[in-house]
Parts: sequence; structure tokens; C-alpha cells
Amino acid sequence: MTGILGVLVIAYLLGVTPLLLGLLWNRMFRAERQELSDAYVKGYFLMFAAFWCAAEVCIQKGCWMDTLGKYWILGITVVNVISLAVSVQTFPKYLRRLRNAMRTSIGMRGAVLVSILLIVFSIVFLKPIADDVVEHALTAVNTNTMYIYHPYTGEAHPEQLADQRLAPLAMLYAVASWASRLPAAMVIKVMAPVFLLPLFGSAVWQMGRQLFAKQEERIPVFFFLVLLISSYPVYSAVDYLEAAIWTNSWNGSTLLNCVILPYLVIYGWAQSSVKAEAGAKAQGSRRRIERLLFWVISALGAQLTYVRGAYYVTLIAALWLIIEAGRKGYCYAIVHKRD
Amino acid sequence: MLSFINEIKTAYAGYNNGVFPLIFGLVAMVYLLVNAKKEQMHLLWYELAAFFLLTIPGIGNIVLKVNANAGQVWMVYGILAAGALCGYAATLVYAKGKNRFEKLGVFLLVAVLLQCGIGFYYSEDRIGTISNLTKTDRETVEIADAIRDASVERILAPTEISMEIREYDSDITVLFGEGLAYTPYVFDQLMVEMDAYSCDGVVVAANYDNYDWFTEVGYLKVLQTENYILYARGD
Repeated sequence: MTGILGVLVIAYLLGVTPLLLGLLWNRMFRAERQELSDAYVKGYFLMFAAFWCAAEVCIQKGCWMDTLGKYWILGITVVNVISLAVSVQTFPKYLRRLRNAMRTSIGMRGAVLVSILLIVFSIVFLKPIADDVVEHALTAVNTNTMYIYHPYTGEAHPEQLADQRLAPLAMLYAVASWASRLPAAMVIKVMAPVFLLPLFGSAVWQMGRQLFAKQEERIPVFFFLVLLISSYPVYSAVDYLEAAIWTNSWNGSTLLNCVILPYLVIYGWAQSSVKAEAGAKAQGSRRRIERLLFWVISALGAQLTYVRGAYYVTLIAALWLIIEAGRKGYCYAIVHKRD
Repeated sequence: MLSFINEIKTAYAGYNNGVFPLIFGLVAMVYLLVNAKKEQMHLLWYELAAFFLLTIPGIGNIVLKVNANAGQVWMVYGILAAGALCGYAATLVYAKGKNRFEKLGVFLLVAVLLQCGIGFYYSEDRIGTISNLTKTDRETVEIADAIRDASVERILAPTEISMEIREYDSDITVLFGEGLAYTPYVFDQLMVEMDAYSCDGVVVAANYDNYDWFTEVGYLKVLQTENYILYARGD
């Protein structure tokens, strides 16, 4: 009974919460694209950003791990209830859209089926590359502290864990393990991929959606090609931890490298090309705020996964800004040349 | 000029087997450069700017803040979105395919290029049936179960498996810590260490086994696996 409850708690923390957060985000900004995969990706970015803020406050204040857990669960439950209330009308639309897409597109059906098979294969047959996420989470659960004790030596040297303290993704799993009363290794290696691999799949699908907005039939092709490209760490003799999404989906640098950064590059491109087509006037203030907020949230979310996550996101955003400014300058120059 | 090329070569060598996704990204970029339409030009500009910033020696090191940590270098893969870019270019090629054979050929081409990228250097280590819910290695599971069955309370074990035993069952007290003394190759010293830490069990690597000595000092062989041997105090 405890095990089943634990599984439900994990599903709530790592599956339902990001989805509800994404639905809330889409409702707030009246998203045009009502797709579950879009809501799921945005929801995860939001959850990562919110958890980073909460965890950093607690780590800097020297709180116990269970204090963070209690506040986190309380906080997200309040937000989830609000999300449920405001998106109760829109959620059926998401389901209807998914059902219609499944009914009409063979590619979509294939993508869902292949994704499910690959997730099962990943969990049942793939052995992970050694990383230290479980050790950090396990140490946190056993000692009820956060990045105080070194997981390999047991010594209290917080200064040695300065990088990890700035990117506390392992604490999210520690909180999940603490709340569910399930072993940290099981939560991280077996249960987290059930929710994190769909995040990868959703992000790839959404990248395809942005790249092929006018040729939707190409999205499944793009999806399968990216899956094929991302498979090499599974059978390669070299350990590519940062690219090993199928074996180490829980790892922060893997998530950053395979999901967050590529998604943001394509997101930046999509925003830039939409603007180029529709013109600046068509972009309402709501969209501008959404864009700006999404970049900020992505930077915070990326920071949860890797010590320089926010820096890399800022770098991508800066590059897109420069390209945007260059394009505007070019257009301005062309117009004045004609005059 | 030659020294500049050598510098680039050295920098690429420093990517530690992570070069090929970059090369894939580069190939995709060249494809887009030749075939890009108006809306794709933005993506191309981004990729060119990022590629220049991240991979040119000197500039790339400053932008990435690279140090000995290879993980940071690998972030180039994400910042360039090399996987997505390759997928994008390959999808565009796929769309131009006139029949199923040509379209299937794109998948095959990507797969072959990937194999070239990893140098046809394969490993089966990461594929196999998982025997438990913590994805712990079978050998470690055997040892951990034997420790539990033998009711060993405190145990000394090599670092490489002590964390795994803890991961599998955190109720087992595997000693660890900075400055922890564990010298399985000097038996008298090992005895002193086990007494000092009040251990009633020890895991030694198979090549350090000394059955006679362990039985002489009152330890019983509980389990022998391929790489390790577990001894527990006889009383």
C-alpha cells in the first residue's frame, strides 16, 4: 500500500504538477497552441525555475531537507489547485486536440507508440552511465540536509559542494523520495524517466512543430530522426553522459544539453521568424511579456540543472537579440535606401 | 596559417570525442547555407554566430569558461542544438525524396554517419536486463543480499561498490568517509582497521583474497562473486 501511495506521490510531483503548471501558463497567456506536449514542456521549465528559487532560499538559509519538501509540496499544491480551477474549461480542448491528432495523423500515432516502447526499453533494459545524482539525493534523504555532507566521503564540507549548491536538481528527487518514502535510487533511476523521457519527446515534438509550422506532416519525420540521432550514447563505447538522454534522463547536464538548450534555440528562432513574418505590430504586449518571462523562467530552470545553466540560456537569448537587432537594422537600412 | 590550423586541431582534439555532433551540425549548416529560404536564414545566422563564438580557439574558451571539466565543452552540442539541426536538415532532404526508397535512404544515411561518428566503437555494457528496481549491478545485489543474510552490521568495502551497496539498501552500514583506511593488500593492517572501525565484515577484491589468513583470524567466506569476496566474522 505504501508503495502504491509512493508511486502516486511521484506521479503527482513529477508528472501532474508540470502539466498543471503548463496549463496555467497557457491559460494566463492565452496560448494559441493548445497541445499537451507544449503545456508539459513549459510546465517543466516553470517547475524547475520555481524549485530552483525555493531550494536556493532553503540551502542558503541552511534549512533541513524536509522543510524544503514541506514548503514545496504545500506551494505546488496551492498553485495546482488554482491551475485546476482556471484550466478546467480548457483541458478538454487539449484532450480533444490530442484525440483528433491521433485519429488523423499516422505519424503522430507512430510517434506516441514508439515513444512508449522506447521509454519501457530504457527503463527495463538500459543501464545508466555512472553519475552522482543518486548519491547526492541519498545523502540528503539520509541526513535530512542539503549539500552539507559530501556523498563520497561523508565529511561536512559544504564549500566542496559549491557547484552542486547552485544547481540543486538532486534535491528535487530527494524531496520526491522523502515524500513518497521510496528509495532514492528507485525514484531517480526507474520512476523519474517515466516523466522525464516524455519531456524529451515533447520538447522534440514541439521543436518540430516550430520548425515545420506549415508542413505538419514533416514533424513525425523530424521526431524520428532526432530520436535516431540521440540514440548513439546507448551503444557507443565512449561515455557521452551529457548526451545520454535514454540512459541518464535524470541527470541535470543531460537534461540541459538534450532538452532545455535545443528547445530554447528553436524557440528563439520561431519567435524571430514569426516576428519577421507578421511584423512588430502584430506582437501584442501580452506576447512580448510572455516571451520575456519565458526566457527568464528558462534561465532559472536551466540553473537548477547545471551550474552554468542560466549563463548558457542568457548566451542563447543574447545571440538571438543580436540577430534580431541586425535584422531590424538591415530592414531599416533597406527602407531608407529606397527613400 | 599552419600554426592557426594546428591550434584549431588541438582545440577540436580537446573536445574529447565530442567532435562529431559538431561536425554534424556543421554539415547541416552548410546544407542550410546552400538551400536556406528566407525564414531559415535566421536559424543559420544563429548557428554561424554560435559556432564562431564557441568553437574558435581563444574566443570559445572565454565564452564557455572552459576548464578541465569536459561537461562544459559538451554544452556546445546543446547551445548549437546540433541534434535538432541535423534532424532539421535531414528532414528537408527527406522531403525532397521522390520515392520511399530515397526517403528511407535518409534515415539510413543518418544512421551510417552516426556510426562513423562514434568510430564503429561499440559497447554492450549499457544494454541488459535490469534485475532490481534500483538498477543496481547484479554482482552488487548479490553482495548486498549476502551481507543482509549474514547479519553483518558494519562492513568495509572497496569504494567502487560501497556507494552502490548504499544505493541498493541504505540500511546496510557500509563505512565510508574522508581518510577512511582500507588496505586489503596488507592483511595485518586490514585487521587493525577492521577492529578500529568495529567491523564484522569485509569485502575484498578477488585478487586480494587470502583465504587461509581470513579463516585463521576467525572470518568465514560468505560469498564469492566474479570480482569480490565477502568475509564475515565467524562468531
